[in-house]
Amino acid sequence: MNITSHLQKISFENRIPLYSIFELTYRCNLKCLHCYIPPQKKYKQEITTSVVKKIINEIASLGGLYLVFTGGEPLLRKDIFELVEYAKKKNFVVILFTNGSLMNKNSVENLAVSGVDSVEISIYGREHIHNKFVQRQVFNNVIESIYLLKQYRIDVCLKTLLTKLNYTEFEFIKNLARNLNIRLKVDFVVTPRNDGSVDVLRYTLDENRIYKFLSNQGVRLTYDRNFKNVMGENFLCSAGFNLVCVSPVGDVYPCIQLPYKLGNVKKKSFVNIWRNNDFIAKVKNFEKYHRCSKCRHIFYCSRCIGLCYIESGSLYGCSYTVLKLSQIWRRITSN
Amino acid sequence: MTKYKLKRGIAYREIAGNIYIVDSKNSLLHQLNETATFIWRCLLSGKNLEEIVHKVCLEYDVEPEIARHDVEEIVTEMINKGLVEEI
Repeated sequence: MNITSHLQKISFENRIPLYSIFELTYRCNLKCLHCYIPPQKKYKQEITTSVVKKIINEIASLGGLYLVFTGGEPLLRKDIFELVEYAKKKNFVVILFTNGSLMNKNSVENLAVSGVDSVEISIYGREHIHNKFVQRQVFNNVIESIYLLKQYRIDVCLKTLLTKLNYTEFEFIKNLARNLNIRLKVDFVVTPRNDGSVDVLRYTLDENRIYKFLSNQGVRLTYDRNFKNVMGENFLCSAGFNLVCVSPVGDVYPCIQLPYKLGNVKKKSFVNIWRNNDFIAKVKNFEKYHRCSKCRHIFYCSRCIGLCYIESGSLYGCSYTVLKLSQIWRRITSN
Repeated sequence: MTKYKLKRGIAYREIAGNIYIVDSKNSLLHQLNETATFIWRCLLSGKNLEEIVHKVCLEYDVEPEIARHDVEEIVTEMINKGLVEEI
């Protein structure tokens, strides 16, 4: 077992929040068609800089190592550079997820000084497609941001979601990443919004297209296919075991994609919430996974508790999104 | 005497008794063994080479020459891997 798998295993078994995701704000300057965050009329009070720092300290004390700042758009928080710098001082690997449209020379310089390890930027295709996808005219700003980040020697990673609206853009996106010599992460999973609304699923690419991408075009997914083998439990994933998410208002969730609230940091300490919740006992109640245990796709399934919960309303339910991907993997493997 | 500090950008954490170090610039994850973990803690607490050798002698009950050889070898490796640097 290599060191990465070993660390994955021991953090999972010992429930160490190795990976933490901070959604610093739900505010965003874009209106991406597929966004999992439901549009909000009014934004609740976001947790303050000092509260975020306190949580960072607590996660460090529990053994957390990788930390993501995301949103909404995290650059809309005035304290973003201060928070990145603080997390670096606490010896985290710090990754920033951004739409890349709000950066300029000054902010990139601030990011460089703060010591951010990597910046991941979403891109959906050429100018007209990207702008249609995010419903704002920002493509040129995004490209400029990528060049600025490279100029300041900050690691950049491009991310894309291939949907019915932009799958024809894959070659452009792949070439962009190749020409700039930066990494590219590809995903096909459009998730229901966090409030359970499924209107966004109409953008999901059809099964045959995904099959072609995965089998013929050498597309690699963002997540590790061998993950569950490392975990040793077919029905579980990282959520709540070595992964945690903190929302803009201080709610703690097992994963960014799993709206099962463990507690709120305004009422209890993070450590207390992490150590004392009913989530782990619930998901480890293996007798309840009737459907999965009989499913012929289980071996090919990267079961996502979040998607199962959002789509079926139960931690033990089935996600049609994941099931579809499992069927595709089964086809690929059998061919 | 020379002291050392963490090189900029290096992240690390002690997890279940072991030190894991991430060199994100080179996409590398290192795991330290017991002796290296002991030396790592000494380095980051601001001890110089002589002090670390002394601590290793006490901790592992070894002769100073052997301790010095091991400490120098491990610290050199940490420097060569870009994890720490001289202050």
